[in-house]
Amino acid sequence: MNRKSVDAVYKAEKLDACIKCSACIAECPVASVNPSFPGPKAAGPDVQRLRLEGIIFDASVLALCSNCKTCEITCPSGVNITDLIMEARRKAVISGRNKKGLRYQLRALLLGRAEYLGILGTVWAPVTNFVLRKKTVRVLLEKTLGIGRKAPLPDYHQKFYAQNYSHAETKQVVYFPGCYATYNDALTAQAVVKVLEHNGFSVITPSFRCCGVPLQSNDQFAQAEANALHNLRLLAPYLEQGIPLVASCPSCTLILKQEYPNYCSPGADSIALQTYDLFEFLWELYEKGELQQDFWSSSQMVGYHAPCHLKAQGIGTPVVRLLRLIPGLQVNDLDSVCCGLSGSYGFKEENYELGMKIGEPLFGKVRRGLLASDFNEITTECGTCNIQITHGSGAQVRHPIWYFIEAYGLS
Amino acid sequence: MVDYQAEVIIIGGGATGVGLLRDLSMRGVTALLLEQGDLAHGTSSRFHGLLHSGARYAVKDPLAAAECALENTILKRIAPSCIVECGGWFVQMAEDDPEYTANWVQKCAEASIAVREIPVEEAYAQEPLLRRAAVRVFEVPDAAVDGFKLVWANAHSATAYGGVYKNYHQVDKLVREGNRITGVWGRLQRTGEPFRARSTVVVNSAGAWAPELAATVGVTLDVVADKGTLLAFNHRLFQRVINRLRPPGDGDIFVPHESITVFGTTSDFVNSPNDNSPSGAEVQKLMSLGEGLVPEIERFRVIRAFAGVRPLYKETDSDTITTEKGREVSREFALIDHYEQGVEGFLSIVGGKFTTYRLMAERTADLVTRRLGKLVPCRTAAETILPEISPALKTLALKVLPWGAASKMLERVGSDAEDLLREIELDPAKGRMMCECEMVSLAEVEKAVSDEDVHFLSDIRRKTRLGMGTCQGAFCGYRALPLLRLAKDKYAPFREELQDFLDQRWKGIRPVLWGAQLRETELTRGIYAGLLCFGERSTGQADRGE
Amino acid sequence: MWDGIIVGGGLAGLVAGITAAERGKQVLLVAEGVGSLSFASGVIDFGDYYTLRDKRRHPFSLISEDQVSIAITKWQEICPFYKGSWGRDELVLTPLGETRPAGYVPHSLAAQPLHEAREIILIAPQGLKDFFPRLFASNLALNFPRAKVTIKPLHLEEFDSQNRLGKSILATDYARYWASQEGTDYLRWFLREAVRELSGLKEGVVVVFPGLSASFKPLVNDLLVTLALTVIEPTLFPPSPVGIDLYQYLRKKFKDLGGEYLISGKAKAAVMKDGYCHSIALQSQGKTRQLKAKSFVLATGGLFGGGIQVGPRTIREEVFDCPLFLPKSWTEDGFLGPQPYAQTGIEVDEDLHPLNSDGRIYLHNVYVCGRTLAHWDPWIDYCGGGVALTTGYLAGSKL
Repeated sequence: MNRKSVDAVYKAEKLDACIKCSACIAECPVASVNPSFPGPKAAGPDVQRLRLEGIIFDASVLALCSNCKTCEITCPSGVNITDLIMEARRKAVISGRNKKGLRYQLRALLLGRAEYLGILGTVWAPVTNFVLRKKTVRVLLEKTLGIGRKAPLPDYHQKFYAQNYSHAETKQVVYFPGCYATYNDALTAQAVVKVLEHNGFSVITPSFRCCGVPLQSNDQFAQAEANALHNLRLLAPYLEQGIPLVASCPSCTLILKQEYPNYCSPGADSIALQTYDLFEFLWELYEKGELQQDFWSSSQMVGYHAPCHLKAQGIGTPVVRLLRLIPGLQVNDLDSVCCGLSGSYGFKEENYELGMKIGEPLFGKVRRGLLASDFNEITTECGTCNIQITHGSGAQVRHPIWYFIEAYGLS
Repeated sequence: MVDYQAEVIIIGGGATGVGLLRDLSMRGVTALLLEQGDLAHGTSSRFHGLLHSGARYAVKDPLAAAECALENTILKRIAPSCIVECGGWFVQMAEDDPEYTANWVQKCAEASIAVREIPVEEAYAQEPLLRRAAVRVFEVPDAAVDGFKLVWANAHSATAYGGVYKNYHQVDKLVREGNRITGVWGRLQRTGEPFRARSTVVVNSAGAWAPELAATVGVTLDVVADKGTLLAFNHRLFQRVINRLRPPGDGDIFVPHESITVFGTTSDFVNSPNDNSPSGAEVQKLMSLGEGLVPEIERFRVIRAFAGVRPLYKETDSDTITTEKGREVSREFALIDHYEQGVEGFLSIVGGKFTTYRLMAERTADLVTRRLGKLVPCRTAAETILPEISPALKTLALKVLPWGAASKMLERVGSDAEDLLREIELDPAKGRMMCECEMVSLAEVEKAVSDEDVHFLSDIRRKTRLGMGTCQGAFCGYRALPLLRLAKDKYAPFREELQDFLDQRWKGIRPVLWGAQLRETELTRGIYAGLLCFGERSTGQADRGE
Repeated sequence: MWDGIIVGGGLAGLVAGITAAERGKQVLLVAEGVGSLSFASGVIDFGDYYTLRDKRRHPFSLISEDQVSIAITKWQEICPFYKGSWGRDELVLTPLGETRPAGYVPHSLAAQPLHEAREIILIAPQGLKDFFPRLFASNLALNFPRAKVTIKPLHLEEFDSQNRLGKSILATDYARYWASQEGTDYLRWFLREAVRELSGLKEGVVVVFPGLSASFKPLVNDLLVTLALTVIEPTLFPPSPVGIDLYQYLRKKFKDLGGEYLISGKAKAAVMKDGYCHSIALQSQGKTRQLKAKSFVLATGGLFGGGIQVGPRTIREEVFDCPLFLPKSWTEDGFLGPQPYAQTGIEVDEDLHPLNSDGRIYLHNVYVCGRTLAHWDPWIDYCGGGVALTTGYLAGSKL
């Protein structure tokens, strides 16, 4: 038993809290575009009462959920809707009830193991990118594996390597870059390290495995668990010393805070308290008066998109507060909803169009804002939101850390 | 005026009554059942839902225990679609008497009740909500039974054998000619129109109303009305029946019933069989008692409280002492031929429990057939009541409805589901859920509405379970009503109907108004009073509650 | 350290936040979810204001008429597309097609024109959930006997797959479509066609269109003006597109004014000393953090929103553990009539400070607004929006 049993009373209370207001269905990005998905209320608290009765459900309907967590964010009663859905999915897969065809399984394998793809991709990055841009290749991928031919698969670059200068005298922080930064955007990961170092930290970067989010979304629950245990083992000695853990991708941060504590492993008990979203961390430094504020002024006008998994963390939008510390920089919170890619969800052939539909209101806001010169570019912490927004609106999108790099004069 | 004729008139459409109707019909006796409301509107739909293994009575009432044990097996064989074989546990907690346990184990063996001890740690692993103070845990063949479903199954089967039942036929008095009872006078509940019925034998199976009925011909029945209150929790807290292993008392059984958990019960003598309102005091008592098995009971949502009146038979010359507490009265049943009191052609079948309804019906039918001179053996122990659901039907259901809805429909409607499923196949819109908590589709509601006995939302609720789930009718109330009104070709009085429906639900919610159910109630009031403006308006004058 | 932290993101909380942010305060609003505006109709009622104001301890009795007037002016600034008064002069259609009086309404919900209508065209979007065209039409006919009522079905290709599967379509999904350019274009064509087809009359035609939420959609609104058509919307069963649109509108306003909106965080366990609150604990994924502010606003929705937790034996206000008024009896027969338990809440002085049972101020830097206040019942008094708006404004102006 690698997972702790979640408090049964807590689970029961959460299920009982649902007052059937349907606010979650109204906000669910998937339900609004895909009639086959009955919505979070139906797939979550409604059928949970029937699942407890022993009625077996069709897990393929549950797989339509993109795991964006919008329902949990929306729920005025605090019901853990996505948890209920994902838990049911996990049970279905483990029980072997969820037998899928080979094509589906291969695709799940491929999209789930971002890091394997990453490893392959970065070995011959220029070649991989070239090949993946070829229309014939993409049509083939769609026909064989069901990866949408128009899906914005990210480019691969040089893999992120950090030198681990571990000075015992300086403050220390552990950095979890996540697969996107590691394999597709190493420059951003290096930027994160630079900013942390500029603020007096030495940054430790153990060889983490994928945090597990894409694995879960593709029903690879066993592998997700194995990765989590591996990561926890790497983290335990640092957590024990009270060293904080910082992640630059909100999906990684969320799963580290929300799910990793459920494992029976050293480190699991302290990980939630010591894990920070990058900007959550920097804001705490600011509150303690420890943030370097030697900012050059900026004339940037930026539109900010809050990723779903950031909202789910319940920390607000610390990056907006921080960016407003940079003199001259203007930040416009787009107050947007899901971009529609939701990790690997929108890469799948059957979801690609739906993903684009889900993201359309956001793309519209971006296009209009650019036209009206409300902002010149977009910023967001999540790598996949980044590529989706570019894909849907044509805007340039950067990770927010770049504004700090520029403001600190570290480029 | 209608004048019915039958060899036997059965008064009371609870479990015993319909069981008897079926038994007699199977034996070729013409029988007419008269029920004042809807079938099972009395005690048969207001009890625990527990199909006793008999273990509960092993020490106190060994005869009743043995009867239960036997009937339990029979019913599981003849009505599997109405029963969920979830099993049950008896749990001895730290403060319970270990000697009672030892005695109980022995008595169970004597009554041929299968008992198996389970390691306490295993019990906790399987039922995480169980209080961590268990000393010994035993498994018994308890099961959960849907009283309403089983009553209807008997009624349908009886009809197939030529039996007739009439709902909303109130019997006002028995007709006495000299020393014989030759029939009854009554009236239709809806219209007040009178009717009469003639027979050779009249059987009084009116449950808690039995004494009232017998009194119309001067016959006294020693039946006491005993009210028991129960709580319905929002979801399955346990996967099996959980009993407290100690002398039977109040608040010591949790029964999983479809998607909810029923917990009870209490016991208080009441004056009238119609006194079925749960009181706040009873609810508080149950919650306190429940902590003995589930320490966190206050944190779980109760969707409503309800009460049923049990007819308990007082044997005036037996060993059992009748005291104030309803529990000292015997739960054995009694079949009384009133010729002993100088009245011929009149029998009463009283007492007993749901689990032994078939046996009670068998004994009664044996006596009736003897009186009629038609000695035909009973077959009810052998023949299944409802046809099994075919795999083809299951496949069709899964094709046409989502899994949860398919299972629920088959559970509720059984083989009759075929027509509904075909309808949905042709027009998928018929598969839309009217009640999302219990997954009741439009097709099902329309079918219920087309029934001539269905006039109100409460009728739809009883037949389809619409409104029995978490929201207690908040959303499905306004969804189902237009269908009802459309079918009966009127739109007014819409408000009164909904208000009535809500008032009835309110009766059950009031005593458990806390937590999420209170928030649900506020949302419900928000919709009906706030959005639809169905209620009174506050003038600010009378400041009630201050 | 914030100037003010508002706990609760319903109408009262958002109005407090907007008011404070406009005054230049650094405000954080913390909400567990989207709040109850998503089930709200969008109508701001004041009920029988003058009677309620004279009712002892009713929230309206705490504020002066002047303050109410200022609050309403502020509201009209924030939402210029609302019309009405604090009487009950506006008319609104219920989800079943009946009429009821209202105070302030988004102009697309104002149903007065129906009185003069000679012809009413009721649009029936196919598969619209919880909408009953025949019942609705018959109620319209009953209430407006001078008009001829016709039902005009609306069928969109956009929702073809839903219709084929027989699924019902949420009003919010339709509303989202109408907000798009494509949707607006379709409306232009459809409305013209509907009127042309069904109406010989040029004058006196009123279209009733459920789920349009035109007040919140500038494109649609402009279209209706261009077409010179009178289009009215009824209120709808939850989830309500007008309620949700109002919520998103207010939230965006709040953010645009510089307020920070923190969702998915649960506020609990304030740290209090000597009658002042120093910080509140915010539970979010993984951690509990202390949030400090000079002042706080409690707008957690009382019994309904969950701000006051009721157990079988205990009742508690969750954040500041404020003393609560409890009615002597709890429930009455007659579900839709006055219910004593609904009066439960926090008693305050005229500055909205929570009071102890002896009448002294419990916390000097905390302001309570909205449902959480004692001595009123939004559903029976018909003043849910009015109390939220006025007390929310007052709280925001005190931060």
